[in-house]
Amino acid sequence: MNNKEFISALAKKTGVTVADATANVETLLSTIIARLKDNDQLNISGFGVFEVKMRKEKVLVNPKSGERMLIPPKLVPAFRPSSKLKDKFK
Amino acid sequence: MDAKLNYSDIVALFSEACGLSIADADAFSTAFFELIVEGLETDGIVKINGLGTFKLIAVENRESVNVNTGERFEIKGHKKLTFTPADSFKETVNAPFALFAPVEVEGEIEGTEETVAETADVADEDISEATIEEPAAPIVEIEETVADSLPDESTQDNALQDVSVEEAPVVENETVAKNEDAVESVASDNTGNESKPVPKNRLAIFSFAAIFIAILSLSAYAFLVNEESPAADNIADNVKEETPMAVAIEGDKSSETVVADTIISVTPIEEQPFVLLDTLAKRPLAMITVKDTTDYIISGTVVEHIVELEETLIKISLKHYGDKRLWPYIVQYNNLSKPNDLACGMVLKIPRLVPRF
Repeated sequence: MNNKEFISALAKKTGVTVADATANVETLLSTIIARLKDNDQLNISGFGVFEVKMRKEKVLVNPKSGERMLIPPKLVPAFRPSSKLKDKFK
Repeated sequence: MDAKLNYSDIVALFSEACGLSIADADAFSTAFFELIVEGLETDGIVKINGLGTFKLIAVENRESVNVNTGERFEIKGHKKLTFTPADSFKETVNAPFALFAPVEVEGEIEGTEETVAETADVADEDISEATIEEPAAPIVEIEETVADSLPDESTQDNALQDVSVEEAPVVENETVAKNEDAVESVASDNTGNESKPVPKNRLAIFSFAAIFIAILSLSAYAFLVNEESPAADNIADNVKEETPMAVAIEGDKSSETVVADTIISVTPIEEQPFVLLDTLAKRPLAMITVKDTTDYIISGTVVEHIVELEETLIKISLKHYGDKRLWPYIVQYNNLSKPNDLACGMVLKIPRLVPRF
């Protein structure tokens, strides 16, 4: 299911126009992302947890050339499905 | 910041952002998350622009062991839900760290001290090389006169000898290697004279032989340092004694003139140690003590050393002799049964070392 199919299905399900659904999804996502950017944790019961994880800096060695690269630390968004959802697909 | 928000908090924020009533916002959000689950059930994959991709991945059967009973059992294959964030999502979240870029690190991060010590060692070897190379010179010259017909080969041998000088770190061993090399090269040259069109692979054999001898002498040095027996001298003497014999034997095979040449050439070898001693005696004492050799005779105690925290024998050796290779003398002098177990506060007698020539 791609984005287009998802939006049209959502519009059908909630009974709004596709344009409205698109706009609403955008605001919902921007709210979620803005919260995550502030390092918050979003717990959506029955679905899962959106959170931000920090990856520490590390040194990688290219085995071919022997080059050593220092990879800087970074923040990555992560999603942990709830155990309910996990069991559903198991 | 660092807050834990639940579903109702998100709905409140969402309704504020888009102007819908809380009830409508709740209905929409619920539909949103439910539809993701439905999409996963039907297609196994849901892509949402700006958020990312939810995907079901099949996990195969695998065998595991019950940690309590040690019993083997099979974990059934199942489907796992994964989430891959969209690039824009990742960038937004990583904004605080966006200014960092991968940097190439030069050299080793640990053990920089080690490399400094290594270069110091190399410098020491250069000094010893300079003094040792003189005795070697006559042999090489004679060799060239013997092997006039084979100039290429003799130069090759010279090169190989130089290599062996660089590889062998100790005076004693260098002379051993030298003498062995000399025997080897004179012998090979003589035999080379007998059968003139030299096969090309012979050169390769010579070079292998020279390298092998260098490795042998290195390992012999390592062994001698560990054992601390005075055998190094004996070996050197043996080889010195053998040199004229071997040359004479080899010489017999070739013409009379060659024999004469080689015998003349051997005599300088015996004289060389004295020449070497003279040159060394003229140099300041500090230069001779440590740098050129690791073969010493212990004569008395210099000081007593109290072992500090995190101090090793190598560090102590470096501190008192300026050479980390000399720690075995400290072990020997103090009769340490376990050189690896140095206790903090232990008193070690640091022996006075006199070079043995």
